[in-house]
Amino acid sequence: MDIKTVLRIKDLSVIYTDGQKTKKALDNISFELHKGEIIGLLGPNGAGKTTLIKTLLGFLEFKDGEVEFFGQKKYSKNIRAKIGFMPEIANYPWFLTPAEILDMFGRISGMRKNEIPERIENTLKTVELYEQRNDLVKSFSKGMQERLNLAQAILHDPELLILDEPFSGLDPIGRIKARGILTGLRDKGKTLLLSSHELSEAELMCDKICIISRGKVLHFGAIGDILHGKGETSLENYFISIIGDGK
Amino acid sequence: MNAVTTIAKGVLKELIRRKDFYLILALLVCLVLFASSVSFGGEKGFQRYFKEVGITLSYIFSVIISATFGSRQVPQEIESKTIYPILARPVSRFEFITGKFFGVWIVSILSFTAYYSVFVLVLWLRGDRMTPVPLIAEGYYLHCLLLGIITAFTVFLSMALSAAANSVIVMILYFSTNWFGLTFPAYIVWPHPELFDIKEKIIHTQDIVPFWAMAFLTVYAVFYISIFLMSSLAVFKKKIL
Repeated sequence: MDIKTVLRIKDLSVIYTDGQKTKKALDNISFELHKGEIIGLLGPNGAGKTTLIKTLLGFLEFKDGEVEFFGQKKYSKNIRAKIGFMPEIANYPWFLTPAEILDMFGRISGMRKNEIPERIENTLKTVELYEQRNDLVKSFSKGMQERLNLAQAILHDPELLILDEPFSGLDPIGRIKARGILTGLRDKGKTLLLSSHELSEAELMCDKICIISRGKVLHFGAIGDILHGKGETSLENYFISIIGDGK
Repeated sequence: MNAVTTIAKGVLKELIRRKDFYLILALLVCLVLFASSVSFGGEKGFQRYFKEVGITLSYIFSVIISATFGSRQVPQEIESKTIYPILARPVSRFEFITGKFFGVWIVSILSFTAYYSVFVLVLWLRGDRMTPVPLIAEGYYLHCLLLGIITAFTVFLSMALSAAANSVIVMILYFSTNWFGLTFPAYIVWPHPELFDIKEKIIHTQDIVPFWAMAFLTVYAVFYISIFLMSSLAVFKKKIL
């Protein structure tokens, strides 16, 4: 395996059992993420994007297939310390301040005690919440909660960032700023896997896209190949052409 | 260990910032002051009555804190989705559950300490010098152990129940087993909260509990705490998040 491969997924299948019925939530998913890439996980509702993310993070078990982070099959604590995760819309405890929440995440991420305050300050400045660092989260708007959500994910300077719908809840200005932060991380050599419904955002910032529907990968490749190689005018047109009505 | 203490500290901050603890403390102070202002049966009669009211209230209110805090920790984290970024970190499910348990137990002990202190202080101010301090301390220690069992059981139930249903069930079980006792076969397997209740000894200023009995009750509590915590972990490990 290439040493620059951050994540390798091979023939990954996840089956749900609901009483007598079994449903294949993920069906032979295979792709790789390389260092310094942003990969967009696109698909209609119920396609399996969140299931894939939850499986990668160990929240769901899989029986078939392989997942390797940084060349290792074992999802150890050392591996997890290199990963940041931003869930879709998390409501952080209203009785805590952003500084306290980030302090907690810093400690459980295994960061050194003396480096946490400086990292918190820098991260809050990055997501523009530094002025509100000592305000209780209960006074936060939805957009501010999302920025805090992003802050906890990038706090420990992870090598791989997994983001589930990072643009939901953000206004247009917030989206532009979030895009700037994420592409900035890519420029620093970080790797990003993000799921999104926002095709225009994906087109603007992703290097590659993975379109999944009903648990199967329908397309995986560079954005440039779609727009230039396949002659599509936009990612949205291509998405609709291969997804159809999504049923 | 760092993850366990960090998660436990989060629960402690919840106690400090929420109003529950302060409201209950204010209510307890009012009730204790009211109880202390009533006069009947002479000084001895009053002290017995006051001890009964004060200890009962501090027991009940601390159990309420344990049940309400313990029941909402895990469901709240799942509902708000904050459990995902926590468990995506180098934090095992065992550390998460253990951290929540210790956090709620510490919170319950701190609340009980405050409530019990109000009772002991007013008792002392009313001139009681007869009740041995070691007996009051034993009452405190044994109830802290019981709070550990209740917390562990509440955390276990929170794997499957909503916070409201969980709190109600824990309170019903506490009152029914403590006041009405248990019948076979529950008598054999279920923990006995009445063993940790030495209220009668304190009310009637009896001898202190011997060391061997205190040691036995400590082991007894640790046994049940371990059983409930291990059961919680077994369920939580299989839980689809």
